[in-house]
Amino acid sequence: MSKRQLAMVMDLNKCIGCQTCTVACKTQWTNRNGREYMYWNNVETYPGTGYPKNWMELGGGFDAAGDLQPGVIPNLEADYGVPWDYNYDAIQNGASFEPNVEPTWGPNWDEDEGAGVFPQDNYFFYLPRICNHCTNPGCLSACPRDAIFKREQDGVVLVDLDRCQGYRYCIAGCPYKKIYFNPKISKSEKCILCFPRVEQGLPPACAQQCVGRIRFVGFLDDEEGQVHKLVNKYKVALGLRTDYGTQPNVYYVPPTESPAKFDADGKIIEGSTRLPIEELEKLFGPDVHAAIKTLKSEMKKRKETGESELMDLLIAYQHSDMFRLDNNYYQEVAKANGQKALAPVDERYVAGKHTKPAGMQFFQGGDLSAGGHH
Amino acid sequence: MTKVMNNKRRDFLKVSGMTAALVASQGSLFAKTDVISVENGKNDYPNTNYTEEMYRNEFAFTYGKKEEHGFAYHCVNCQGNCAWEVWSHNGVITRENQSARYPVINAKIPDFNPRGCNKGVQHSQVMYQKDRILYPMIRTGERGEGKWKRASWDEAAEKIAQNIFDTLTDPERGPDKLMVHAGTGLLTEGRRGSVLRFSTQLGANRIYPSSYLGDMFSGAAVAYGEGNLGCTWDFMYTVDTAVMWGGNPSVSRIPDAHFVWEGKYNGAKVIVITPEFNATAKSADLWIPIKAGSDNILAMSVINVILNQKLFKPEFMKVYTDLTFLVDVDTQKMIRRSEMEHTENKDDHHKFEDQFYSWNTKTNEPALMPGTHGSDEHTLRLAEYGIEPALEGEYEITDVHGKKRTVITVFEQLKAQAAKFAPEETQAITGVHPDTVVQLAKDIAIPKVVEITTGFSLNKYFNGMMTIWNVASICGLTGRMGPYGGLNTENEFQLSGLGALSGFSGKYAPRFGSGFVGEFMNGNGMETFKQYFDDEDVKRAQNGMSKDEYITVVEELLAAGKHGKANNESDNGNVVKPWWLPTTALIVADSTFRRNKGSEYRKAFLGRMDFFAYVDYRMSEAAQYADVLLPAKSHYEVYDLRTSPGYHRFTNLAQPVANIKNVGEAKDEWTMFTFLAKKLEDLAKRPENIDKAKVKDSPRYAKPGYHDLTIFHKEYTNTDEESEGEGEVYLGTDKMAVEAALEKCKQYEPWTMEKMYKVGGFLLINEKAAQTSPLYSDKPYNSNEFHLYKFQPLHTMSGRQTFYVDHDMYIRMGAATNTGMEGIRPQRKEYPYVLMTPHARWSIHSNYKTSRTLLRLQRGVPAMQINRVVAAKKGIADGDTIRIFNNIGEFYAMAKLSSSAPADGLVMEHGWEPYMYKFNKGHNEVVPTSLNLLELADGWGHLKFGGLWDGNQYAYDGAVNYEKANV
Repeated sequence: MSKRQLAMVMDLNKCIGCQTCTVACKTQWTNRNGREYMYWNNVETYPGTGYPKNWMELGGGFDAAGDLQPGVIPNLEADYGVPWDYNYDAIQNGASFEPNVEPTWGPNWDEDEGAGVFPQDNYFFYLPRICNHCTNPGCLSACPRDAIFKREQDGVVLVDLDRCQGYRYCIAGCPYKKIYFNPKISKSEKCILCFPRVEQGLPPACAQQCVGRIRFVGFLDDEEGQVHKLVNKYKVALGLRTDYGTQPNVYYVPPTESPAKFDADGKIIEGSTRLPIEELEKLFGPDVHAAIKTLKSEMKKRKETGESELMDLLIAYQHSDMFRLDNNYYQEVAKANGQKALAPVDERYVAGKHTKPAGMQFFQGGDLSAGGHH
Repeated sequence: MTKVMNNKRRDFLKVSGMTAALVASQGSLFAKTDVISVENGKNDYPNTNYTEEMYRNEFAFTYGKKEEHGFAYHCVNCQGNCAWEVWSHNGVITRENQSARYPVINAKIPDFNPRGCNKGVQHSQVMYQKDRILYPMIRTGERGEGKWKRASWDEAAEKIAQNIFDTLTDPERGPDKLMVHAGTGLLTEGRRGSVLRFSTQLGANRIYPSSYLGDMFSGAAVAYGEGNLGCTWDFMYTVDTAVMWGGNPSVSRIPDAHFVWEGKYNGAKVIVITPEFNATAKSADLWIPIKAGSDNILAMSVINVILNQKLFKPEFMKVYTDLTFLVDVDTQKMIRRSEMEHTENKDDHHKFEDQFYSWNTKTNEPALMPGTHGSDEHTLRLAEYGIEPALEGEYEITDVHGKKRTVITVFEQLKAQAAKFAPEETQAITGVHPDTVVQLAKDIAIPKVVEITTGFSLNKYFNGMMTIWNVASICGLTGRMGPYGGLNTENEFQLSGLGALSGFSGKYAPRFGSGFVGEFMNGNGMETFKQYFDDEDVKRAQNGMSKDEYITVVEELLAAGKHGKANNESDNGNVVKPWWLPTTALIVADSTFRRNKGSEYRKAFLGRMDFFAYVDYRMSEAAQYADVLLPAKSHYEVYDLRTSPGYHRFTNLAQPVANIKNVGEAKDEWTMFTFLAKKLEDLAKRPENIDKAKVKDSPRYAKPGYHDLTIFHKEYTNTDEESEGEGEVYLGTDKMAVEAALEKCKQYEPWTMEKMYKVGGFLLINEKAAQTSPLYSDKPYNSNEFHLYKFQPLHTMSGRQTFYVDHDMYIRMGAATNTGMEGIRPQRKEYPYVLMTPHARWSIHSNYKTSRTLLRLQRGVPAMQINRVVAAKKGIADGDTIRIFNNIGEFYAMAKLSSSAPADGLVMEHGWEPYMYKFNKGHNEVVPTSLNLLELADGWGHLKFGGLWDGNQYAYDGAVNYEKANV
């Protein structure tokens, strides 16, 4: 076990499917060097085939006995989608703008399609996914080179690019299909939870740049942190497909909000929900019932009394409060390892168990009053 | 554990053919350290440094040096306007990260961070994409053929200046044959001013973008005398009910959508009214799947319920609306003071025309109402005048001629109209169950704070004006203003002093043409209209008026508007929509052929145009057809400022990264137009030209009676004698413009560029930005508080919220008060589907449509959401190419089978450039064009042509059919 685990909570009620996270991740890491087809972060419409296609049926993970399960490596063209390009040069010559490969599949192919009968009971929601940085990673267990590791300090799962031989057992072993083969360097690569950003005080790109404000990042053992409270105190944030046995460290507030259904005459069916509970149970396990109950009762309490700590947490008044990166801790780890501690590039997100909040909140100095608002 | 698993590996790995081939071909690239023995990678892994250092270095590369970072926003027409920190390495931009440093306005309300979206987050990628225009280019082949020669700036500018000079000085042409226009690819307070200034100084024609885009809130203008009103979006957090009527903020208001969902956690009920199921509807409390375009009728049904169930607020209505005003039952005209009193004075006569009466129950006689446009009493405090107006009733009055006239209140008129729209009666048209209408009416009327946001889709229907007017009237009946909510079209803060950049202190005035009429004329719209709509369509949409009669009426109005004729002759403001047909055009950042409707626009436009120069940073479809192309810098390469119209209270800064490397030979627009101005001046000063260099123009556009081209550059940069004397700010580069704007705009005080940079690339506008409510330091903004609490009149004819317009055309259309009308979209059996092209998640109109990064997150080609059930009946499978067609055109798209699309509709985000479709046929090929007489009507009260009152180009009037294609 790593000493501590950095984790993420994603609130699916707030996810608007805009994919700013996906693109933020892409420009930070995957728009180059053989990673072009990869989406370390993707957002899929559920129900749908997902990304890569039908990933939930591709095996990997562990059975109840703890044995690694067989898995399938997705196909670039059929399952991930070829990162097609265009004839940009030719537009000025009056040509039609055309993809160089006929697109037949991509990471967001079934965007907003959903399931059900329009307009009676059709529904969808968004499911953003990154590497789960599992406590018991399928990829790690599957690697014949033992070239995948969990960082001691924060549990981030990394492929050792020095030792990886490109055997790709890891891809089959990951039940989330969140580890990818880089054909250019012939090694596997995956979401690194933006640890270089985190070490320098910047949250992961997908989380910091999430405009729906659905993502919280912090250490699970940080009892003052939102992540701890949502996961452990209120138990409203649950792992995805924990039945795969990898003990994922990305947690989801399950979707609870959907408009009422209509009957055949177009009449509202009072009290109905479009979100089938059996689907939610499949994704988030049996604990989803209790989580939904807690969420619904806290929403009701908020509506009636104006109070609810849980709603306060999920609303997240200040964006910067969604992240507790505990920068002192990283500094100490670096020192203990005899490395040069990296100075934070940002002071806004550094608080944590070992780091008291910065003394002065941004913008409470003279600048605001100078704006003439008082 | 690892050891156990090794035994099973052979079985568990199943490799597909293609991936296996990939591996085999690349199998030689191995880098290795010495043999390491790993017990368990979950603990104390011995070789972490290699990988960690690699990724740390990669991050360090993208991050660059903090002190070299720039700031920017994306000044395209989303109006969202977000502060971004731009990262670079050695002058090359690597990526962008939201600044996310906006201050907390109120600790109990979520902040505005990290404002941005999926499009802003990839500008760093498209700015280096190969559809970038790098150099000035001059066409060598036929228009659109794609044959160019690279030109120097000198040569290209010379050619443009020569064409402008020739147009202006030709006795047959002159300024009104020249168009200098900036589209919505460039919406900023800095750079945009350069084009507007150039245009105004020449007396060139330009048209209102919001009108031709169908983004003008004409219905709100009728009601409030102001089209842009509503809230900063943090207000959404505080409401009891948020209605998204025709709006989908989770897709097209991405930076602000979180306030809606956080508001829901805070107890708000969220209601979405859209024909399709979408990203906002999916999490709403109530989704109302309305039949496309019937919104104005649903709104009338809501009014019907509000009236029948007595959910309205009479005390509010008496003071803040014109519902008590008296109307003659025979003529349907409001009673004016000029009918009740004589006056000899001409000024008084104008004023008397704009004064009205209510029935005073205290005195039992008509009372002249204070606060109307013609009144000298600028208040709505009726008690001070001893007036208790009757809301209901029929009365008899005696006019100045001693004639007895029967009058009723506007409210009586409204009641009579609303009675026709009982929910049971409208269900067949709207598809909304009567119980749902009642629920909606209660959810709007009863709670304390209700904000109704009208989406931009509503104006895209022929009778969209009626929809927004009717929704405004719902707010008026239920007392919604200021802290109680109300209509939210798009709040706009007030910025003063920016005329210093784009204007000339009144020396020259812009030659504004109507947007929707201008484009109708540019594209020979009447031909398309005649071809597409039949008598029945026109009768349905224009109160029984026949197609022939409609054409006659429209042509008369168009004739009156030609070259602004009737307006120029009017002694009481504008009376008609003016238009010009230019033959020379210099257009900036406007993909005009893409956005205009019908299949004939481009041909008509180009056929008329002797010369067409185009400025942009990317190769839009308009660029393909230009005669001369000039390369502009894009958003990260310039200095600029932008205040959101009013979604928030921040003005963002654009300041390039340190030592930025230029992309090609691109110039910022100020530098570019200053260069063009110099060329033009030099040309005018040549001996052979100097005699004709004073270009005559009407004093309406040029006070001196001419434009002096021999001092054109001096005037443009404020270095002419007169400007220097006046102490005007010097202009000439993007940075100078920013400095000038910061100096001149009162709402920016006391900020500087340095300070903006220091806090994170923005400033807070000050309290002077408030329009109709105070801009509190610690509260969200919502319109019309001054009206509500200070009894200040609105800028309407009545000084109140308007429920009655007695313009002859409105009476003729049966629309003097709120009513419902079906649209003009044909209801023929051959074309049973409505084509809906809402604002996009993946582009801002056509901006970013060609982004490789974003296209890979879609289907890669234009894709159409079609209902699964209908598709199955038609034998169409997901991914098939379908042909969408009607009697004016066709286009092709990929079928995207969806449970979110209605059976009678097709849904596709708009903005695709025609060149992105098969055979270069864009989706507007099947979209007809038309003009609604209610928007064409002009010259009444506050409804006089200008930025407030123009009209809309419609986009959803195309009825189509579709089939599996064999191409």
